[in-house]
Amino acid sequence: MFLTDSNEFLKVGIFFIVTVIIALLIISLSLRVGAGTPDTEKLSAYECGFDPYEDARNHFDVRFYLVAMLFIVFDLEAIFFFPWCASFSYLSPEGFFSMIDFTIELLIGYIYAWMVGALEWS
Amino acid sequence: MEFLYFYFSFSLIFLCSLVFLVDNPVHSVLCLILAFLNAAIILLLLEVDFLGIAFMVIYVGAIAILFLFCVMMLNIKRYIFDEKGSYLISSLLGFIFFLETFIAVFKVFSYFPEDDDSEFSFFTFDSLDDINTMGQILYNYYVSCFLISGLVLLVAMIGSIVLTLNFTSRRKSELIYRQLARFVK
Repeated sequence: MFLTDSNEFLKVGIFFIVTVIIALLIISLSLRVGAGTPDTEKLSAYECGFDPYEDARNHFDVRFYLVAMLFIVFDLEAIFFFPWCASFSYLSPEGFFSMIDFTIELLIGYIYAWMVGALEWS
Repeated sequence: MEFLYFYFSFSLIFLCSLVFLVDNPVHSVLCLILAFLNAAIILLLLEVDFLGIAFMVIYVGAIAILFLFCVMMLNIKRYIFDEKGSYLISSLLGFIFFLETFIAVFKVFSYFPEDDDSEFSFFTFDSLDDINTMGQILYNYYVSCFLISGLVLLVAMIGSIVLTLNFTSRRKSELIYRQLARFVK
C-alpha cells in the first residue's frame, strides 16, 4: 500500500505519531509539573495497612494457562475464517466444504472441552 | 520508505537483543511483545496487510500472554547469569541457527520480482489484496494442508486439556433439584 499512490496507511501513521506525542506529553508533564514530595510511607508497598508478608509473584492455577491456550486455538480458527470469507465467490465447492469440515473438526474439540469440563471453573 | 524499513529492522534487532539482555523476565517479555509489533509493521510495509494484522492478533494477543503466564509460573525473581561457559554454548547454537536460516532464505528468495528493472513488473498488474490472494490459493489449491492444520489445532486443543486438567477432582457444581428440595427446619 505504501508503494501505490493512494497512501492508506498515512492515517494510521498520523494516529501513531499523535499517540506517541500525547503519551510523552502526559509523562513529562506529570514529572515536571506535579509536586513530588516522596517520603518513606508514600514509597512503601501498601497492603491494607500492614507490611506485605508475601512475594507479589506467587504460583497460580494452571487453569489460567488452559483458558489462554483454548483462546489461541479459537483465535487461529477465526484467522482462518477471514480469507475464506473475503474470497468466498471465487471458491470451488471443495474449498467451501473444506471450511465446513474444518469447523466440524474444531466443533469436536469444543464438545470434548465442554464434556470434560475444561471450561468450567469449580 | 527505505528509511522506514531500516528503522523497523534495526529496532527489531535491538529489541530482540534486549529480550535476553534485560534482567527482569517480565521486562524481557514486554520487549518481546514490542519486537512482535515491529515484525508486524515490517510485514505491513511489505504489503502483506492480512499477515501483518494476523501476526499482531496471534502473537501479541495470544502467544505473548502465554509467555507472560510462563514467566509468572516459573516464579523467578531475578536470575543472575554468571556462567561464562553457557554463554559460549548458547552463542554457538545461535550462530548455527542463524547460518541455517540465512542459507535457507537466500536459497528460497534468490529472485526478487521487485528488483526487476523491466517496465512490466510484477506489481503493476497486481491488483488483488493479500487476503484475497491467500484465500483463493489456500482454499482452492491447498485444501489438504488446510484440513491438516485443522487437525493439528484439534490435537493441540485436546493435548492442552489432557495435560492441564485435573480429571480426578470432583467438580463442585450444585445439583439444583437437590438444592431446591432441601427442607429447612
